[in-house]
Amino acid sequence: MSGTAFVRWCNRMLQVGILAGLASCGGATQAFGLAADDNSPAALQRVLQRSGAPARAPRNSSGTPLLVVSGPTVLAAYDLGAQTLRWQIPLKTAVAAHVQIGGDYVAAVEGPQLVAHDLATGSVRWAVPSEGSVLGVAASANVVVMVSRTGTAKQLWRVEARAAKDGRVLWRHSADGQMGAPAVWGNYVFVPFLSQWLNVLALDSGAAAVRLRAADTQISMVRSTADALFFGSRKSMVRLDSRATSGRLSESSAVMAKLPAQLSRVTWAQDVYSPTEIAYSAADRTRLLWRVPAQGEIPEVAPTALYFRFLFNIKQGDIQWAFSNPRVEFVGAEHTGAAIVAVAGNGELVVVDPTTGGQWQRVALGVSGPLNGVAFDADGWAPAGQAAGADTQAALLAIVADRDARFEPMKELAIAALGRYTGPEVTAQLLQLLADARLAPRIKDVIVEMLVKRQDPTSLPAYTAALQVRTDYLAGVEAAALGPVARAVSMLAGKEVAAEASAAALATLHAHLDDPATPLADLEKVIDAMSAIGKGKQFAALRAHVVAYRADPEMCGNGAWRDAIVRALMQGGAAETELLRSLADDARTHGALREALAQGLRGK
Amino acid sequence: MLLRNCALRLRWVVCVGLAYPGAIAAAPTVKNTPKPPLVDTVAALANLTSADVAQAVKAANELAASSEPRVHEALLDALAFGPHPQFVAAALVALAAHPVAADVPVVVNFARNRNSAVRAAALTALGAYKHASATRALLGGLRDQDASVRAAAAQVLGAQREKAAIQPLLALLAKGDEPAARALAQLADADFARKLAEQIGELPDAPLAQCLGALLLRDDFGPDSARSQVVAAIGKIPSSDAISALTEYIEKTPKNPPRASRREAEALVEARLGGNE
Repeated sequence: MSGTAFVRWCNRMLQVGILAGLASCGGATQAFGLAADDNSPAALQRVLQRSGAPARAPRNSSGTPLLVVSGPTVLAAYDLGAQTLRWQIPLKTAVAAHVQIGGDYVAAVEGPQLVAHDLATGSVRWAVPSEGSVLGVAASANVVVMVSRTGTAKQLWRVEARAAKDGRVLWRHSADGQMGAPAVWGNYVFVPFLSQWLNVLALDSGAAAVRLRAADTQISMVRSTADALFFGSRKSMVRLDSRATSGRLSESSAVMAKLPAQLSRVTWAQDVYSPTEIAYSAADRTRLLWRVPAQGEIPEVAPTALYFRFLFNIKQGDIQWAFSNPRVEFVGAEHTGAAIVAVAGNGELVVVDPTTGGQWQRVALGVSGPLNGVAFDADGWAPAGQAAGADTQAALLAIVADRDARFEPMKELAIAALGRYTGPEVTAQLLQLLADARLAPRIKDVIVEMLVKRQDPTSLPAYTAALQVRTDYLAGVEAAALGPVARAVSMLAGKEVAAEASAAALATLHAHLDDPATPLADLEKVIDAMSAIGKGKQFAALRAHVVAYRADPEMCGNGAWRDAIVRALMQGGAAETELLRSLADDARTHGALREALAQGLRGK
Repeated sequence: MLLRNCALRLRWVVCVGLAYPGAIAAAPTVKNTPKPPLVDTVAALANLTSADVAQAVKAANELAASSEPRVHEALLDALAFGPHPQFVAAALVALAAHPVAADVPVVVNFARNRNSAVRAAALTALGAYKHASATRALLGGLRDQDASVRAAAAQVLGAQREKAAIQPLLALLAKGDEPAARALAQLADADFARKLAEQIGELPDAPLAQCLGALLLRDDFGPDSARSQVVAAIGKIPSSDAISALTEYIEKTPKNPPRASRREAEALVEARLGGNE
């Protein structure tokens, strides 16, 4: 649990304590009292039996896979099956809560009103004032459920069900404690309560069916798919099945995944208590897309993380595949069970194969204006035909090269994933990025660390090519990647390297050794790199180098250079030892170097 | 001790032979008749390899006057042992005072030394050698990161009127390098001056005015109609650098015999200064 979440949980618990005191005085309707029988297996069993056992298919009454997209001034429905825009209507104000697709209608909070639009035409079926602050809406085949909050000094939360047909109120409950955004599944509505409970009410009557209480975690997220319902927190989700009454994660059908630290922002579902997540927000663009079986054992889940423009499929903390959408962010995405369906802010529909990351479809929805949110009712849907082959390597490189500074954690993630790919091609592309002055220094450091750690001898030709860049004032060129590349080469000591590649690399490194433009800080790395791949052929150059600078105060005053050159020549044979002894004995050699030589020779 | 020094010298010459081929290959061919020694050559030769840097530098300075082959050889030998940068600078001056072709690889090598003062000294020394590899090293010096090194290379190339240096010097002029301006002035002819004048507004004012001003001061630049064109070109440079260049021309040129270009320069300065008032 994060720090903020913990504080919020503590506050909720405090409220629970206050409510326990208030319970005897009334103020809460029975469904949201504190005396209910929590986690009743029998009651849950009844709910599961009467839930209508939905299948993995669209829930709207036509059974057509649909999207409803919204923008600041537009609401539109797109028929995925027919691949046509069904309707689009202008909006006076942007929707204030996530849009919901019901049986034959669409429920949307537009300004101060809850509005039902006809799903076939988009026309307004009814509109009623939404009292207080809307905290969330859910839509079943025939019933719209809205949770809202009223009052300032004394706040009251209310859940209210209306008939989809005409908007009349079917039932309502109120409570002194905080309710979260509702979800519907089968014949029930699920209302999160005080971060600890999930109150399950019959859709038709509002009767309390069962109340689930989590003992070792919060309930701050609820996700309803056509075939299953899940609840949980940032940490994990629990499937609603007979084990859900245990209240403990370890005894429930839990859905968990190990995620890289860079994806800590990505959540399993909407936070039902977060005021910023009531309407479409950045949270909808940082979401885990996942499916597990509706029944039986839950296998290890490999969710796909949506992160604005990118998709990362994660298994056991590692990236299996990645997808990068050029330039435009996704405003929302959903795993239908057969495909990952995403909608970009520019009105493009992008469908990706969830097993490979290959692009399956990219079409323009034909909606006017930019979009900021999307509701899906497309369970089980996938486009016809085959997805294109995935190119995760290219996607990862595109992510690293992205200019958007917000994505630096994703770049780190992509670089780490690129570490799996050996060979000169990917190395060459990463080296190209290293030479890009616009890339953030932090990202360059991560690239270098990855190259260093990878110790890939097949990359030596790519390193040599990168080392061909020489500093030239006149041409305005700087060999900025010299130090990092030399460092990566120095890690190839003891690796099997082709003689030709080694000779070419040595010649290039020698040129840098002799180049006055090589920064003193990089010389140490150049010397180490020559030692790593020189196979003995580096000694002539290193001997000449140490003799040339043995009396130079700037060079000899640099400990890193002294250590590197002495260390390198100590690996040599009799000729090197003899030279080092001569230098150590000669008064004209700089004192610091003489001392280092004497020390090295003592250990020889 | 002397024997030990000799042994060391031999060993190092062998060790670094590849890097400093000149150290071995230098076969003194100086045929000038030795002048009477002004210094104690024997003592100075001994001091060339002194561990006391000041003493070695002093010896190199003293030996610069000597054209004796043994002195030349001793200087090459001393340079081959990786001496202190201060000594290298002094020894290169001494070496170039009596240049022989065999010095060139040694001096060129120092033109790529990590110490910028050594590089500048080496490039200056290369001015004494008319040799293709010396020219290559000088042109390479124009690409150096250090301004003093570029200045040394530019100065020599300008003095040598090396045409291959025109393009890189122009590029340096565009970057605002003043030494390049002076070097270009030495290389320019009337035609080049015209092309340069066409780039007013594209090249930075200060070095361009300096270049054209220095061109005007060259005795061998003419006829006066060409100077008049340069004066007119300077007059088009909008910054005050133009006035400085023209004023210097007026000050350094005698009134008599009268020159039209000088009068035009005066008129331009007067007009510009009057305008400012």
